[in-house]
Amino acid sequence: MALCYFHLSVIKSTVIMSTQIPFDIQLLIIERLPIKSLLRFRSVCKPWKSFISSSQFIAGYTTHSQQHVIISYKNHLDDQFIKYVSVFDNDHETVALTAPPLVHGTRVLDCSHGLVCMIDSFDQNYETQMAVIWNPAIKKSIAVAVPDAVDPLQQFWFGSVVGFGVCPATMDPKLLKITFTKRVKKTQSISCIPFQAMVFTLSSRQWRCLSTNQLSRKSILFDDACQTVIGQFIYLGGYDCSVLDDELRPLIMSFDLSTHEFAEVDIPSSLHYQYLNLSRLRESLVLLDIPTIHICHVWMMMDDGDSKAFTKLFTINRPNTCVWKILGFSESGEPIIEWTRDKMCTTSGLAVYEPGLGDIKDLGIRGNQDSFYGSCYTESLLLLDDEDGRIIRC
Amino acid sequence: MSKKTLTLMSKDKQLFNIEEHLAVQSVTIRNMVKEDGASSVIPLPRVDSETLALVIEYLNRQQAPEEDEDYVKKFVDERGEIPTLLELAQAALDLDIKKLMDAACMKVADLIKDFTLEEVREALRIENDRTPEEEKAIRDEFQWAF
Repeated sequence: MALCYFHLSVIKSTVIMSTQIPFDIQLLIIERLPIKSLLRFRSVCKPWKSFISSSQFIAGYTTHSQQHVIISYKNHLDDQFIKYVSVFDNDHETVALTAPPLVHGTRVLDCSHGLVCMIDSFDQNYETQMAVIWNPAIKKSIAVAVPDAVDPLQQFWFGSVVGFGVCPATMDPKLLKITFTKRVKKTQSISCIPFQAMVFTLSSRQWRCLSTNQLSRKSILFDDACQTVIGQFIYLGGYDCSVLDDELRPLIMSFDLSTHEFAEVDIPSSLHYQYLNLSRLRESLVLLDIPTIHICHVWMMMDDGDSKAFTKLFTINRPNTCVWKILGFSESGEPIIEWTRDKMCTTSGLAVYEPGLGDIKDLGIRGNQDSFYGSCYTESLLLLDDEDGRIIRC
Repeated sequence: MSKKTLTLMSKDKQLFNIEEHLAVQSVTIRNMVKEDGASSVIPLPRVDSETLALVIEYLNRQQAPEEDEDYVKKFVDERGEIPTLLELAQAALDLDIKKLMDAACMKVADLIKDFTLEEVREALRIENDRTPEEEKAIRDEFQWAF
């Protein structure tokens, strides 16, 4: 049988062979080209254009290019504009990036499958909050208005958080918005404080409300600077304020990009941290535990399919080193951190920590303390067939 | 017990001997041996003798598994001519030798990635099926990449 098949395919392609390289070989070569070549080679011939522009190829394309960490920060000594920088694995080279001009003043929210999601902060005087979904490799971006869930007069009582991730099953970029009650009175019944969750899918270009029953059992103050997407889950950090007599208990919720379901992640009860920081190392969730100044434990969630448990990766314990945030990891597992020499510093630096040696390598970038946001990024072709510069209003 | 040998026949009817346990790294040959184990000569009418000699050289490699990635990379690097690599990729695809196919295609991609459109068409013997106006329209969308 195999022999017959072999002969048949031989006859078919010897005819083509004399004139050109068989198309299956051409495809195997196209798949291995870097993005910039692919953009140019769309003009080689019609079959190449169709193949490179096909949604199947766009969704399946993975590059051999190295990952980097994309970071946004502000420096008040310079000017108040948000700056963007890429930190590469090779010698931790930093390269300044130019964000798309669609919306000003956006910071990095997260990266997923080659897309960088950025949102503007509330101090910008826009009527609505905007999210920008940007593919830096092909220089295309679109802006999405994030709907207000509550009356603007009531904003004081409510907080909101936006999450981002590309659903790995459908390769559809999605935004999540949760509106939650910010101020809880002690006398108030807080067993059932309403949340409103909405999801935007790029394929539909629309927001729709989710049933939030799954979230209402706890009142959660989400931290808008604390999230990361891993696989099909967006992890969002926050605090449980249903235990009022205690200090706020940190918690992590997961949002499933496929099923749109929420779940709570078990975290070690021994953690001391006063604020949450989530990042990802390869495909694992990492969180920071900062018991005292100058000491910082780095925990990683081991997911073996059945259970998820946190184990301590390493501890950063150096004199004159306060770690505020992990912005991302190099491929070899070195965290890119925001740090200061002491707790009172208002200017932070960007550095790479080398866990094996316990050394810090400063990258020479300075910014306002707490203005740093970042995420690990690898190139993709997503948005290739979308119109650049489109603004999707509510 | 002596090792069993297979004979492979190229497009131009040249015969090559190879030990069976090495030849069956090719999934295509493995399936052929499994199904009609008795056949003494396996014809490979799409592969010319020069390419088959290369494939056999590759199959005969004596590498520790951890060195294999480096070996296959070096193997294609040393045969850096695009026409040779294309023949090798085609043979590796037909014979289903994944690593070799992968490395050969990767090498071609690496060699052509900075080519002009005309150079790509020449290297892969592709005919330009567009008018200059059509070509410009497509080019304009990502002018910065050119």
